[in-house]
Amino acid sequence: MKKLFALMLALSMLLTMGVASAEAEKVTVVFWNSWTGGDGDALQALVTKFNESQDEVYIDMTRSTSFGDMLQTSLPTQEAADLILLNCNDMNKYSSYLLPITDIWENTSLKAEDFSDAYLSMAKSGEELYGIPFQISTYMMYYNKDLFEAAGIEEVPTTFDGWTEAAEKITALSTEEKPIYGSGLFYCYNGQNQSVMQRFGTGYMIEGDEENGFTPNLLDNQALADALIWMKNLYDNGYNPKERDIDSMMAAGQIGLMTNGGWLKGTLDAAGVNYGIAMLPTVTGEDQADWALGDLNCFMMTTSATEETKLAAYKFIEWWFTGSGLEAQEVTQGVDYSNITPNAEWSISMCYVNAYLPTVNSPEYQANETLVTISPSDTAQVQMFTELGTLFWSDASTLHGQMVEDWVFNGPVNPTYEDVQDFLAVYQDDLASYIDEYYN
Amino acid sequence: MTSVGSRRLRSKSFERKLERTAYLFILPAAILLIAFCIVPMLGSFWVSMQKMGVDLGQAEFVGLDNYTKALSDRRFIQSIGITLKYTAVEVPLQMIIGVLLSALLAKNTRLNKLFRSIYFLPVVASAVTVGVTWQLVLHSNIGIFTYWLKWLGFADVNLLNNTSTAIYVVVFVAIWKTFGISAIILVSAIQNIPDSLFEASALDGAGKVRQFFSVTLPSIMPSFWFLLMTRIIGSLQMFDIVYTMTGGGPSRSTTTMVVYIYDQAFNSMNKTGYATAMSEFLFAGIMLVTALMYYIMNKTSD
Repeated sequence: MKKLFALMLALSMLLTMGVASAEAEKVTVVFWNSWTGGDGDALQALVTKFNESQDEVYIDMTRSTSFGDMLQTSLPTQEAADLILLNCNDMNKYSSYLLPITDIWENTSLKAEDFSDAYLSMAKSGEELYGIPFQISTYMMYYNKDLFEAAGIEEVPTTFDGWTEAAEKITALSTEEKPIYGSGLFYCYNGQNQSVMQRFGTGYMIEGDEENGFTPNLLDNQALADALIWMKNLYDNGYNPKERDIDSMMAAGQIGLMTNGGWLKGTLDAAGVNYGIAMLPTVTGEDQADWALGDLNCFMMTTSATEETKLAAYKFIEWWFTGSGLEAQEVTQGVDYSNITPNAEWSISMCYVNAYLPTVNSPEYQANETLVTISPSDTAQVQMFTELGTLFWSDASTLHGQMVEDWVFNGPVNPTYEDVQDFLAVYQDDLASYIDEYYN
Repeated sequence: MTSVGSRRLRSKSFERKLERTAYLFILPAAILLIAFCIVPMLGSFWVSMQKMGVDLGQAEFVGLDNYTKALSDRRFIQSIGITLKYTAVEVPLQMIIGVLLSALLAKNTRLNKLFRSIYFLPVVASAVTVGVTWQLVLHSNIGIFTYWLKWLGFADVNLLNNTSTAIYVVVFVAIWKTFGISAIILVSAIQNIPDSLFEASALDGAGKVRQFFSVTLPSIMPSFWFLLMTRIIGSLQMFDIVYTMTGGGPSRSTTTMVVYIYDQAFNSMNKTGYATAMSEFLFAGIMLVTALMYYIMNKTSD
């Protein structure tokens, strides 16, 4: 018995060593990102497929909500991940620790001309390339089809007045047992509320550039005042809840209309909500494709990477855009994914607009009505805070969420344009102090 | 004479040897203290006088600019007010609940032991878990607590999203999470009171309430002061529960000093130096409170 036990132990040790040495032969690329929601599970599944598809590179992926903290504390000591998914807005913040990857065109089969020039240029600093576009998270309008039907609404609103009318009708369905709100605007989250506000034509919060100087753009801004009054009226009239967690209410069938990114789809699919996706409204309803607030996230390499891990990461990035032979994921929309690239699968299943033209032009992408519907025009305005890459970007974005929430919850009822100006004066000063701090 | 002199010399050399040995004994602790407390403290003071992000390579010396800037930063001042408000509510409530519960749970009965364990459970739970769980319990729409309140007839219950109530919700959750440890410390203090004191007071005709105020309370004062001091320090440093439950909102109504410092250090660019300067203010405040408490404690025990 003892001999048998010893033999089994020895065998299992040998097997373990075999597996370990096979893993050791691969170059390990440490990959960090902040995709912790349902989309993160899909990303993990794709990374696992890459790891199983070849014997040269092993992607060791960590997803964390503390991604920013991890980067800040590990980059200066060269202990960060080799590969990261980073928002282009943060390129300036980490500029000393990002590795130029312009040589990716020489070391892979990828070509610069296959990427949308507008988005690729956002990942450049001077002539050097620092990122390869991974995902463009545009915001879109989610609506509950069942609530629309119950309220007798036949057309999806294309204007903000239409939004208010629909919200009023849907809110009327509310009962004591099940409160229902027609509108589900987030007041505290920047992306969500800005995606709506920019469509009023507010322009940047801070205008100008480094050469000519920057100016805060909150006061005497009619479009911004209109947006704020519209948002506040929705709340004051009881059409919009005072809640930060709108997603769970939408999943519970209590919200008629809301704005969010593709990451909400998984939650709504899982909850069995009968929902639709459309482009967000505008003032006139005619220029919906001309506004495209969204974050561009890119594959980027950090200075913690070595030449070996950099080349290994290139292999993964190349596979992401050109690999094939994938099977369907759970979060599909009934499309046959058996022969498309990981990038196309990611984009279609998650409803993320893509910057890789072969994917955009593929029949599968074009067959996805929602994706085509929410795709912005080539000349769409992408940002609202300020021009990409300004030093005060983070401060301005933090201020924005606080400003909107403060206005909606604490501002006067039935506000006028003058009320908005009085309220914004102090925030205008804040923005001026950021400009002064970083550029004067 | 010679032998007395040589004895004295031997004695002095022995004393010096003893002294050296004593220093050798405290050397490891001293090295650790210097390396992990004194040097970082001095380092942070140096950082607070720089305009810099996380990267030391791009630091620019700005003297006391960060300190003067903090004093004119209305958001920092607001965060001090919120922290003081939080401390003023949390600490007295925590102490009262701790003292009352410890008096009730002091006897080593089976039931008391069970309750002590139950009350201690939240102490060992992570702040993130506690924050997220309470966020769901108090959710204005799907929270069970909200549901009960509505069932009892309260309309429009929205505690976490209301600027006037959010801070009190955080206070409640913080007390819920930590009162177990206050109770345990005070229970052990009560259990150390000699029975003879209670017997003597009973012979003098003191009832339970009189015994509590005249015997129990004075006897547990050293533990009480210690607890009070640590609670005040903990409240001034409040971060984790606020960060996970409200993120400092709504409308900055729960942005405590540490939440604001964290925000400036990690969400803004090149503000690590500024955030450190604000931390120095917090450090000075805590040091002042601690010194004051020690003074009162010593005065009282005298």
